[in-house]
Parts: sequence; C-alpha cells; structure tokens
Amino acid sequence: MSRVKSREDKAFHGGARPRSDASDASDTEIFAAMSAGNLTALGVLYDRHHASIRRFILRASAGSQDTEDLVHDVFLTASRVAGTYDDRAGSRPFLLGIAANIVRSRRQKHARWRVALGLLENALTGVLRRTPEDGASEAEQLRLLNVALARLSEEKRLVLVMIELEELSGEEVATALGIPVATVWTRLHYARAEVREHLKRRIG
Amino acid sequence: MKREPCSMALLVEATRDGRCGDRELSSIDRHLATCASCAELARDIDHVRALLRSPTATPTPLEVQRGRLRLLREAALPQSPPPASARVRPLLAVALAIAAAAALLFVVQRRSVEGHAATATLASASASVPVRTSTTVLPEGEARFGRASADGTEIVTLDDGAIDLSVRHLDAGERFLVKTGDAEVEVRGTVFRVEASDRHLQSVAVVEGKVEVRFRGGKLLLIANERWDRPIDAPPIPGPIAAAPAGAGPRATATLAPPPAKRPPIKPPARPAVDDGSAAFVEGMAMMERGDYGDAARHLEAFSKSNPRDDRAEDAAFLVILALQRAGRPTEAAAAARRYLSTYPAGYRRAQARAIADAPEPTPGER
Repeated sequence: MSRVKSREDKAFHGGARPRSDASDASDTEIFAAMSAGNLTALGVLYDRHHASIRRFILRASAGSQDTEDLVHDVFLTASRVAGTYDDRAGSRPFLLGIAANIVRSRRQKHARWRVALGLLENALTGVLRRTPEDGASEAEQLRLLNVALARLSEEKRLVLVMIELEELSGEEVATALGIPVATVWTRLHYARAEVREHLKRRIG
Repeated sequence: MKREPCSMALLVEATRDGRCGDRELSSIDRHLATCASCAELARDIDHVRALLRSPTATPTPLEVQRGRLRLLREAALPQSPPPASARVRPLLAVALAIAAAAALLFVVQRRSVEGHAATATLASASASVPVRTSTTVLPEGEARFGRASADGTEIVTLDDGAIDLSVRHLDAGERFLVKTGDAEVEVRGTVFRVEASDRHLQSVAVVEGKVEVRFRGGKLLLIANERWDRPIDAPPIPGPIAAAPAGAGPRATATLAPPPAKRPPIKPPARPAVDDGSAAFVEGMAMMERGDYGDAARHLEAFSKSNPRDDRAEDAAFLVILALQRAGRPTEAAAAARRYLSTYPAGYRRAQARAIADAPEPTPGER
C-alpha cells in the first residue's frame, strides 16, 4: 500500500482500531483508566452511577436547586482523584463519599443564606399548612421530609440518606465518611429520632 | 434528646438495619406485637425509609446526555491553575511561553496541512480531540472515526461507535460535517451526538443548535432536543455516500414524532420503474465497499458521464475522486477533482474537490 493510500485510508477510517465495549469493564478498571486520563472511562462511570448520585444529592442536600451542578462536581472530582480509588471499599461508597464532601462544602459556603431561608421556610410552613388533607398528602409529607432533612445536622443527614436511601452498610458509610462504625449507628439513631419528631409535630 | 420510652427501642432499630440475627428478629417480632411504642417506632422507620426512597424527578435522556457531555468537556480541559501569586508567577510565565510556542506551531502546521487534502487524522478512544479552539470531538468507547480538514471544511468520518461533538459557531464559508458510509450530518455551531455502526448512521441527537441530517436522499433539520434514529426498515446501503435514486421526485423531508420507535423514517424516494444506469452506480458502490477502488472509479465515472441529469451523478463524480485516492492514484484523483469542479462549479463537495485538485503532486517516493 502506498503512503498516499495509507494516509488517505487513515484519514477516512480513523486508524481502524477494533471497537471494544468499555461498558463491560469493572469499576476498578474504570477508575484505573480514569487515573490515566481516559475520558471514555469517565463517561462510562457517569452512565453507571449518575442516577444514584443525583438521587443521593437531592436528598442529602434536602432538595437543592443546584443538584445537577453538584452531580457534575462529583464526577469531575472523581476523575481527578481516581488514582486514590481503593477497590476494597467499592465504587459506590467512594463516589458517595465524594458527594458527601461536596454537599458539606456547599453547605458551608451557603451557611448564611441557609439560616435566612430556613427562617422563611418555617414561616411559610406555618402559613401554608392549613388543612388535614394537605397534611395527609404524600407530596406534603415529602415536603415535610425535606424540611426535616434540612433541619438535621449535615453529619446526621448524610448517614441517614446513605443507610436508608442508598442502602449502604454501616461499614461502607464509615469508610465513605471516615468515621467509626459505632458513630454511624449513633448518628443514624439521632437522625431518625429528629425526623420522626419533626414529622409528628408537623402532621400532628 | 428525648429518651425512647421502651428499652427495646434500640434493638428495634437494629433489626430494621439488618444488624440482628434470626433469634433477635423473632424476639423483636414478638415484642412488637405487645409494645405499642416500639410498633410505632418500627412503622415510623419504615415510613421515613419509604418517603426517602420515593421517586425523585428524573432528568430526561437528553438532559443526561447534556450533563455527560458537559462533564467530559470540562474534564478534557486542563485543571485551573492555582491563584496567581509571587510563587507561581515564574511558572505561569513558562507556561505562557510554552502555550505561545504551541500556538505558533499549531498555526504553522495547520497552514501546511491545509495545502493537502484530507490529512488531519485523529482517532482516539480515550482523549478529547480539539478540532479548533472551542470545538471538541469526544469519542465514546473505542469509536472509530477520522477527521479531514481542507479549505474551510472540517469532516469527521464516523465508521463505528458514538461521538459527542461540540462545534463552535462557524464563520461564513466554513463548514463542519459528520459523515458515515451512508449519510451526512451538517452543523453550524451546535452540540450534538452521532452514532454509527459499521459505517451506517444509527442516530443523531441535538443538544444545542441545529443540524441537517442527509440520509438516503432525504433531508431533515433537527433542532435542540430533537433526535433522529435510523428507521428500523432501512437496510444498509453499500458504499460511502448514498444518493437519491435516479429520476426521483422531490426529496423527502421527514418530521419528528416523540418516541423514537414510532418516528416516521426519512423515506427514500421510490426507485424508478426503468433502470437508467442504476446498475452501474450500484455496482460501483459495491466495488467501493469491497475495496476494489480502481474498478469502482471506472464504473462510477461511466455512470456519472452517461447519466449527467441523474441526482446521483454529482455523488458519483465525487466518489470517483475518493476511489482514485484510495487506489493510490493521486494524480488521477486530482484530475477527477478538476473535472468535478468544472462540471459542478457550485457542487456540494466543491471545497473538498478543490483541495484535492490543488494538492501538490506527490513525489515518486510517496506514490
């Protein structure tokens, strides 16, 4: 084959590399590829976990309006710290740990606004909650749950969401948050108690 | 914190968290039957769990795609430099110098590249491929694609797999196309995704802007949030570019319906009852597909000359150029390109043809 033909073929066939399905790779392989700068691997990781991370952030940030930005930050951060991934812990605790840090850091940044909005939320809740039907509706209960979650401390809320929503084990939560397992159960107990109390007080 | 009224409350929680064995479970079950406080606690835990797990608003597939593309685009960029300070200023100066040198090198190389036809080639499964300053081509998996650039026209040729593209707004006279073996997608300043399988276009999804899909002689304009999927009944067409059959009526323009499966396909015009040279065209295309480029060029040229009024004549004339190039006959390819330009001075592929016609003669060592 002449050099001209070779060049032309290459131009039209892009090097003719055999296609392999990256979606078959394990998360460990995905993180290894990401740490080598492979963007395709990051795309596969996003495809696998974006729904779970989005759901977690939505609850862990108590219905934040910038969920998409936070999801984006989680995967961008994961791509930059992929070299630190330890497959013994598993990919979900790793990603949820990153998500928890991002939710925390966002909360710290918006602390002042949160206090102001919390006061407004309380005022509005008192005004808007009028009828027993409203109190009984699922949408209303979800709204109240979000308020209850927002009133929890960050640490308690993260544990509650990781255990109850993401179904992580106590050990996985401990790994993700870098705390002892016993602390996980303690925080979970108090988180439940506070949410129950809030819901009972609001619903009656 | 208010103390739980029953001393078994912690055990009730533990059972709900899966921390207890069978013996404790049955013991707690018996306790729940008699202790109203613990039964209420168990119900409340289950209720909060159910509320937490209740479905949340899920983004549309296009929103997911947009998020994915944004992520890959941003991840492809180098990380932001640290804040400027006295310590980093020297490094910044070095980086700027390197960037300036790289930019200069890029400009020099580009001028050299633009003198030749179809030279820029990139195929990578793992990296962002900047077409220009703000244009990116992101392959998914081991997508196979190539890129050619000449005379203000950028062509991404997709053989297999999916690519996400973000194309900057083009200046007047500039064009950006994605080609598969059987279709073309032309864009102007847009973000979109193209999928192909074995050189056949499978789908196009537009995130921003507009793209025109040209498939089997039909045309379809897609705007943001619209998607085109290959009709299920569309058989693959041999050869790199499918043109409308001879004697076809007006080119079909399809409209979109929401679900992809039910979307009306872009219908090719009906084939004429009388075969006025189609066999030569089909045979030429089949030869292209087989890699028999010399014979393909001969057949396609014969078709083009004997059917000058056929819709496919222009395509055939251009395919002759490609066939001759692939056959390793650049001088004849350049001559064919000149013929194309004289026959179709306002032809659709005049930019590529002109680039090939103007390409310098290869030295004997290059042949």
